[in-house]
Amino acid sequence: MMRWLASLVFAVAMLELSSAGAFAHAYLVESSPADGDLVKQAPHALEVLFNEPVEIVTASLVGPSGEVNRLNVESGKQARVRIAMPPGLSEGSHLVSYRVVSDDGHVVSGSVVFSIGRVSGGGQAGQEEPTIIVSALSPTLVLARFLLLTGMAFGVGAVLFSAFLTPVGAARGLVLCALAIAGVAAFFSIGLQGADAHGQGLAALNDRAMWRSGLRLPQGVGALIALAGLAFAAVGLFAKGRATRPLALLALALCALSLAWAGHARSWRPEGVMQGLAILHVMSAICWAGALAPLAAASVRKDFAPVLQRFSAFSAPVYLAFLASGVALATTQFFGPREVFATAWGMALAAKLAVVAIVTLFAILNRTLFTSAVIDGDASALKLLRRSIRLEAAFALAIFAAASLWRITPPPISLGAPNERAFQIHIHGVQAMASMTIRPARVGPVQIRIEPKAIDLSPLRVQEIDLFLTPDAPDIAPIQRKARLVSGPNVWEVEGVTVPAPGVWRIRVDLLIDDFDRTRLDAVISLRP
Amino acid sequence: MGCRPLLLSSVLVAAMAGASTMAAAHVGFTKRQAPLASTIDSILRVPHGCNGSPTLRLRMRVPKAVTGVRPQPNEGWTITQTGEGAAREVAWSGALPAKETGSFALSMDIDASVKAGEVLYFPLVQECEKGVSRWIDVKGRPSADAPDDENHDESTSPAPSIRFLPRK
Repeated sequence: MMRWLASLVFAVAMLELSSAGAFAHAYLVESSPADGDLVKQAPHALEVLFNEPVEIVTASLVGPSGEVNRLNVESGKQARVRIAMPPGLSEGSHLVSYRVVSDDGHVVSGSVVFSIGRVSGGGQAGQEEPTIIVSALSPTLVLARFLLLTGMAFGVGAVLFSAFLTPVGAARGLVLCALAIAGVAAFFSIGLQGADAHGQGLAALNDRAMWRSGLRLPQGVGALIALAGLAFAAVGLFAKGRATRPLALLALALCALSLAWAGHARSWRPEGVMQGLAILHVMSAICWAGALAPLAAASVRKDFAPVLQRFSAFSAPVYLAFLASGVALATTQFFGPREVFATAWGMALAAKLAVVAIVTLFAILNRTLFTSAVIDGDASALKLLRRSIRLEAAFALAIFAAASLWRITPPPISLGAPNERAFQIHIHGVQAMASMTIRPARVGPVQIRIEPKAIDLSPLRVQEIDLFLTPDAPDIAPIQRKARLVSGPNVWEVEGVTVPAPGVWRIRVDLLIDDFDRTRLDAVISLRP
Repeated sequence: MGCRPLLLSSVLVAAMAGASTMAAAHVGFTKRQAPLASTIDSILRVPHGCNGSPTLRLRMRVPKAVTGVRPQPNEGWTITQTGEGAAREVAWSGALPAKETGSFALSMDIDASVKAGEVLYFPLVQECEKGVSRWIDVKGRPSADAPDDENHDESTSPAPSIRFLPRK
């Protein structure tokens, strides 16, 4: 039983591989009013153009005095999203925060700041980079996905094994149990995805609207397809004679489609080719890795030799297809930017790939060496074969641990060169202004460069610069740093500031113009994880 | 064992006392409000040094609306006045241990144009053996966080100020 489970974990880990490169997220192309715009009259709506059709889930408006209002959004999928503004907007800066679901099913949020009549206090954020949200529901979603994939690989893999190699017989109950677990996970993931898209917690599962939202998401549709596939697998498990094979194949196809439907490969280009590869990858993964568990169980039987023989005949091409499709998907999607491997996400990927390589080598060597010996009736080889499956399972656990980290460590979404990924803002004050660059534009250690300028944009000599970073929540003390003059008369830097959390941060820059005169600049920025 | 609650409560009381004096821990005038008069007498209070370092010099910028300023002699302190117009400064040089409170008395002539309700600011730089504290934040520098008055009141280093009340 443990061996079955361990092999399944491996299978699941392999499935996770198919979601390797997730770069094609929606991002804001332009908006009207544009980010940072100063407009004379209150706009009726904010129009936001994305790089791909998106479904807007929520939008909020933060007014100049910090009041937050939910905005009504229109449903439907489009690249140009219109967010109607409430009438009677007051003078000052407004921040419209949006949350959209991109084509590949990821929730992306961002914000646009525009000012009516005047800029509130001078905060003027530059082009915002969209943020992927790691939400309160992320761990639950990871768990649901783990259960879905585990149950799916275990169940459907066993049904296939049963239909094509040798009946699982008494283990039917266990297989049915796996299918049921996958089914329950698939069902709940619909509501969970919906709630997550709305930024809600577990309690929101009581709300029907969350489930309706979930069904509009690719993951929701994927879950429905998975449910159909799992149902066919269950029927195939109990069917007799010729019906079993087509039912098992249909289940396999639907399950592969469900994962490809909701996975990252959904929006990869070239269209059709990548999605086909993803389906092939998942199918071969279920066939190959899903068969490991029933194979281990069958190894105690007396008629194991012919079963092993048939398995090895079919597993070689399946494994090749699995490996080839995986390599194809991986190389086209993520080997481009070297920078990827510098991120936590990339390191998890690299670690996982290393383990996959070891496991593959292991599997090929051991299977080719032991299989013929076991078929010839070598008892010690049989023992070694079982042990090798156990070892693979241990590796699989490591792979899976790395894979589950991904759900919490979002992949880098911007592919620009490192220097393009800085966050630039101009902060305007009454007496002075400053250009500020935050690099990299994300949570973690950042370098902040500040160039003070006079109101007429000429360089401004100052004596000291103090920087304050405060999360946009009440009663939290700011992170405070002194800047250092690094070059020329007025280029200052603050090094080694670590921004601990994503989201909205208030930045305050105190410029000491002379001994008795300090001017304060304020801005609001949004950093992605 | 019996003394433990006592110890605890005294620590608590001390902590609370510390917290309540925090607001008064800024450098400033003992009386932040004064009735309008052609001449007023004020006392500048310096409650502590700069983060535990003794005070060696205080430099105060005098607002335009103060037409004359006469600091009263302080034992152990040398008083100098420099500059003209908007750059007028009064400086006290001496030594004040970090934990001691210093008082510096001044007589000031107030311009006739100052009206009741008006606030005058006296930005002050406290120079210590180690480090500098700048009590220089004034109101009327609006920002996103703190428009107008709040900016001054919420600042951790507000400039000493006097608000004028109607004439007596």
